[in-house]
Amino acid sequence: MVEPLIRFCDVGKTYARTADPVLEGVDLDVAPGELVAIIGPSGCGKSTLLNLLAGLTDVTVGSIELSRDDLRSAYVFQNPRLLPWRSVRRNVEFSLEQVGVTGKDARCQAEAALDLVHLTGHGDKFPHQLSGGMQQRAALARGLALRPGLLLLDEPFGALDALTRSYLQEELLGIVAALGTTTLLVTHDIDEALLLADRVVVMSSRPARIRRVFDVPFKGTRTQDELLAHPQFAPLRHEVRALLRPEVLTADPSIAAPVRV
Amino acid sequence: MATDVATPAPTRTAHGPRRRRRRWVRPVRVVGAAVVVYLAWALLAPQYPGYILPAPVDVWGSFLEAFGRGVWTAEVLATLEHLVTAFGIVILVGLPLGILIGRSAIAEDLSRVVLVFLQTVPTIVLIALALVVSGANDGSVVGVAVAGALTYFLLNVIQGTRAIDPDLVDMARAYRASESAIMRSVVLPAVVPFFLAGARITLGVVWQICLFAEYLMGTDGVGFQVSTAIKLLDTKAVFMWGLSVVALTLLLEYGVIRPVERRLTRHVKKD
Repeated sequence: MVEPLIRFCDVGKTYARTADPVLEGVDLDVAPGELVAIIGPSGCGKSTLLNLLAGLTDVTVGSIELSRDDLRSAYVFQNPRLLPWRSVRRNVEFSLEQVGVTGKDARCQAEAALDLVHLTGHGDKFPHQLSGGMQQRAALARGLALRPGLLLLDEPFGALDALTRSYLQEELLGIVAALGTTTLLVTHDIDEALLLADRVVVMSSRPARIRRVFDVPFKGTRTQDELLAHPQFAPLRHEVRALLRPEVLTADPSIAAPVRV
Repeated sequence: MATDVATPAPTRTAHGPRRRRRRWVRPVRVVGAAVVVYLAWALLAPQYPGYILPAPVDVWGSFLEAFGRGVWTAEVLATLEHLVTAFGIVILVGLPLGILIGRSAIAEDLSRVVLVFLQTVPTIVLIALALVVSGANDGSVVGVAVAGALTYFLLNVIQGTRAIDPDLVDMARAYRASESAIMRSVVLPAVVPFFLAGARITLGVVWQICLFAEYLMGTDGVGFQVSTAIKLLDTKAVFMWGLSVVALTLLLEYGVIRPVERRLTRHVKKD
């Protein structure tokens, strides 16, 4: 196996204000160019894993090693996090400015990224003039404009309608493959994980540990229609669901409680 | 303490877009009310002696006379110099200091005593102290105005710094933005509405303190002219200087503050 790009070694995280750990004993190697989906019950600490990698917070125990430090990394959050005082294009340029791309170059690359997420012609608007889904696409454009070597995605498609989502998922796969981007995708959506990922990591409820890592055998089958038609798809989906179900119930027992009508 | 902090940039008028009147209705009402006040003044003035309520025409005459002698321009410029210097110092000192205090608990604790003192000490005491320390001069007027107005501005900037969305700062960090880039691209723009609200309050306070200090210290400026005029029972001159300040304030509001505000808050949602 090639040398991993990212190596999580027994990573644990406990936030200072709460006593209980969020993450515990996470061991995971991610190869260069690999797309790893992380799936688990809500609030289990999946996002924390990305925050650790982005340097927004530090590990409590264990270590995270990156074999290259010259990687451009992009982070697309669950919410758009656009700067409200900048136009959409200038928001996309924000990521480019941080790596020294400015002026006309930044403008061109930002426009190209906006085309990619189908926001052509919206560059001069301010974020509040866009719908929530469009804002999220602008946030995605901000990440992709960087042509990142490492892409962190925290449920980036959650706020989008089904059609836009499946379009952008397919676009993303093309971009990531073309750039050789190593990608970590946090998601709730089993289908999304199976469609996009090379491997799917299933996390337990809090404290989050890795329950199991699935290899996804659909190499090259990267449209939704092809995926649904694949003979191995339904059994694999069933298996992941079966593993996830008790974790979701542990995370939030009220889901299993009978509902009175 | 919080009462001095203005709410930033209201995005719609009090009545909202519920009923759309014709565009000229509101300006006409405003001008109409001004005409009524003026007529009341003009009609009441003949009932009183000129040293109590001078007639509009006498006040206008007082202006022409002062303007003709060059006094008006000289004194107004003297006051504007105090005003602009004090205002500039408050902004230049207050902005970095406010951001520092807003972001650092250490700076907040260390500055608290001084801030509470500056906020609560009467202006008259500041004037008395300035007279003792450096005498009646332009520097004293400016110093008193800065000391008296600084907290109004500072509290707004501190509030603005604390209101910064931590999600945006995290976003910038995730894209490896340097501390100076975060300051430039995230912190300063987020503080802008609070900066504007603070600057507006500060300008009003600096006006008041400058005139007050000039009056009591006897330095050049409109304040001293008012004190001289009232000693001579030249009430029409007092009215004239008062209206001059009103006119200058409106000029600053519409000529400087509003255009700057429009330029800096283009992104704010309207309607």
